[in-house]
Amino acid sequence: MRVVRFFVIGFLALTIIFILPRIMPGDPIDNLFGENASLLNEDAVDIMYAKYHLDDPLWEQYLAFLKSIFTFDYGYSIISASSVNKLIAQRLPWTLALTIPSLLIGSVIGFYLALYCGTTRKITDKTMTSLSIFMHTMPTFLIAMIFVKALAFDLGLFPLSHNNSGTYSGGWMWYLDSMYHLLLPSIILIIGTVTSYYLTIRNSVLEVKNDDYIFVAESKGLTDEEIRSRHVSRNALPVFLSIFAMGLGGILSGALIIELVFSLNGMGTLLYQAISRQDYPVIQGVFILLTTWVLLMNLVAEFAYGLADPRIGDSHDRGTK
Amino acid sequence: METLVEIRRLNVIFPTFDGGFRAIKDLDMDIYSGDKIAVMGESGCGKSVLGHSIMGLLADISLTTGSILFMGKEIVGAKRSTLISLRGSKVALVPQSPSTALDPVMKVGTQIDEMFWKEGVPRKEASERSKKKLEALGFKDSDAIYSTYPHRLSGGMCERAVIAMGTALNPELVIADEPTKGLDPAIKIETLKKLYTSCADKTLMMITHDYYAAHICNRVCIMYRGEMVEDGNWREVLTNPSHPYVRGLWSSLPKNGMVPINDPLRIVPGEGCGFGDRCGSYSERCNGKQDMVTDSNGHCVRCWRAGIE
Amino acid sequence: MMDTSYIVYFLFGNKRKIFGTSIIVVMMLITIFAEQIAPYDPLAMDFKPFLSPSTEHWLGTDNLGQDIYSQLIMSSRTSLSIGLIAATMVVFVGLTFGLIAGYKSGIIENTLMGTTDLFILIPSLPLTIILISYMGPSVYNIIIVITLLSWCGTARIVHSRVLQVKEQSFIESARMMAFSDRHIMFKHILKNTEDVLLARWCLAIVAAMMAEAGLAFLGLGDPFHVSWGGMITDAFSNGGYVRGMWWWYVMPGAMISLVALAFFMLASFDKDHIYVEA
Repeated sequence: MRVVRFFVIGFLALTIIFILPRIMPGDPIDNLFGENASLLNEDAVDIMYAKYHLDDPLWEQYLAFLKSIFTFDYGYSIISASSVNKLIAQRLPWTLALTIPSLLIGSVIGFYLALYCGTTRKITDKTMTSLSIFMHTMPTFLIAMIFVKALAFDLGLFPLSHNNSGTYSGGWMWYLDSMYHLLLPSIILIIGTVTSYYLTIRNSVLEVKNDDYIFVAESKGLTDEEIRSRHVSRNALPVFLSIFAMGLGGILSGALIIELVFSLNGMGTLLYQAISRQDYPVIQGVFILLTTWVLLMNLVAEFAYGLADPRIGDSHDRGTK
Repeated sequence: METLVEIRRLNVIFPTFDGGFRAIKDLDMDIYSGDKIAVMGESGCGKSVLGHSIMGLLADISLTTGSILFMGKEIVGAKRSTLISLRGSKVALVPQSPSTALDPVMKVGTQIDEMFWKEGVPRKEASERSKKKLEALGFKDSDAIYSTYPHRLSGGMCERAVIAMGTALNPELVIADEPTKGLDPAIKIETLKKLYTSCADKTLMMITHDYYAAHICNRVCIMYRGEMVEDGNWREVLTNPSHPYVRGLWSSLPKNGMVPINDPLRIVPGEGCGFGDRCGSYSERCNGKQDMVTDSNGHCVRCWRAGIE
Repeated sequence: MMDTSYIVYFLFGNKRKIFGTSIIVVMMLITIFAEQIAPYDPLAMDFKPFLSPSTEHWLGTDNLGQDIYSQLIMSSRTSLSIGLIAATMVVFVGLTFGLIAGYKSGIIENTLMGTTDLFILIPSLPLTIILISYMGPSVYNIIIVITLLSWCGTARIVHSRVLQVKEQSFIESARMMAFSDRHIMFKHILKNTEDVLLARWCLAIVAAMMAEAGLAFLGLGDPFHVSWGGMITDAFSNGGYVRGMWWWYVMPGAMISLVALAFFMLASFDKDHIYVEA
């Protein structure tokens, strides 16, 4: 039943993805040539149109669209002269290099901090909570801007923008240089991740703390450490897993704003540029990728939650007992 | 007969918005090794609080004064490490509401293993012992129960599992909080038997409001509004009590005609008898502080009339 | 429909809430009396550009010579109204969906919740960008788009809450007394979702303000009604950032932060629970 639902939703989502770029104002060909559009003669425009299937009847475009999804053929970008797949392949690693470490590091740190602070409600708890809330009330790009001003501009600790200083063409130094450039954006992302995991998991931990079995665990003579690491953490895990799966869903698109602030060449900037130039194939391709990935991760999320909480999945059995 | 627990002038106050709620008021009690005590009373009389405070579980959420000596060690104000070393191994709780008392994401067997791990028993041996314990509590298929999760167990099974957990280390004192609550009458008897045999030569303190369950004990105490009002041999307290409140309790049983206790008839000053406002035999003397009246058998009653009658 | 004593508790229940409420009141006053408070017309380009803060220009001037402090004051209107209106609509739509889906199970529930899931799954940021590009960046469109993409969260929460409440026996007794569905839904179930709703409303305001700021940053803010987010973006793209004029972008940021903080305070019930968007 669940799976059917997913397919239906996926299908609807894809249809929407199809429709959207086509309802945007403007004409991609005009956009492509800008002021020079008027210089083109009719035939050239027709050729362009034909090449990108822009004057086929809508339903034909739709069928071609659906076909392309399954064949992973996303066509060619109207603006830049390369295939959509190639563009994505170029940009994706940069985004992933940013989002994956931040998700992994941020979520784990957030979880443990929340676990520790939620159970020992001392000063650390109050400080962390206040800090987290404070961070949460500021727009990401503002945090990025402040950090860049303080650490990169004033103190010169980090480079200001871009993936790379372009000085090295390959090998170790190129990697190190890139990592150096990605350091500050990663830090900002990690801070964001840690704060939101901290707040949510902390709520969960506080609820768990008040449950009967924790009181009973105390009566069994277990130490605080044991109670925390064995009972509280395991009961906060389902929530953690579901947020984590959602975080996995956001891996591909989650860093858009950061990428813009730092002028990094990732999926976010790719999409942004494509939208501003009505580059349909790119928009479609990226969207399809994003949506399918999110859908998949959602399925994973449900599965993971079921793994962590043995009570789920038994709802069928409970009737027969 | 040695004294296992000595409680003197115990007061437990829970902080509330308007002052504080005194759950236990100036309680004195001795628990002897080998006793099987039933602590009874209506909801809110403080019996669970009494059980919990003997284990020092209320230290963080209440103001506890007085003295509780458990095997010579002072519980009130004790260091956490002392309490941790005593809990489970020397004094254990068989908690109320067993289905929520077990960690839902942990296997039943592992939760019993935890008790053995505390004593340094290696993993493999611990699970052997846990399984044996489960068998002893009437679980035929102990392997299956060991590997199962709490939500799959019925109420009675949860109760037995929780008894297994509490008595795993064969502690000197087992505090069983409402072990028969919510169980089918048919299962109640079985469960009580298992509980009894699990603490065969040790001390059991059973907190209950089940009149019939109390019959397995040799000593019965009745609490009312935070005070101990009668304490004596089970037969006497259950069939021929001296305290007016206890008499009223038993008359309200179905088999005795369900005669209810009066609504409050008067106002009695704070230091006076807690039951004075509803008592049928009230008189001036009940306005003063009431001490326990003890007779030659050790039977105590907190009513001056008991000394006369 | 709403329980007044609950609202009083919600606004003044403990120290933090009082703090939050007072900030909001101050902000409201600033919005209402903006014209009186701002020393200059924010659009007047009469002054020298890129001035640092001084006694005449508390926050200096921007690249067009406009007084930043006046801009800050006037922008409050845009930011706050977008936040409040969008949030109200989000809660309204989410509530309707969640309530009906939760109460009437079966096909209706499945369709409604399916739609909700659909909206949750579509990546919101890219979608927002596309929609605003299509509809044009005006305040109204921004509010509509934000609502369109945020109602699903509330719907889900309301739905699960309704399911919880539905289980309780007093609903059964109401039904046996043959009250109409609508009556039960409104009177009983709705009342029991109040607390969740109020908290979500506050969080929705925060989220809407953040979303609006994000949109402004992407160049999709309303150019005629600058918001605080818009001011930050201006600082970024018009030379304030590279010239290190931190007061230009930190102050609007601080404003957003303050308002968000205030609503956050209101949304957290006691010292412990701090409801977050996730």
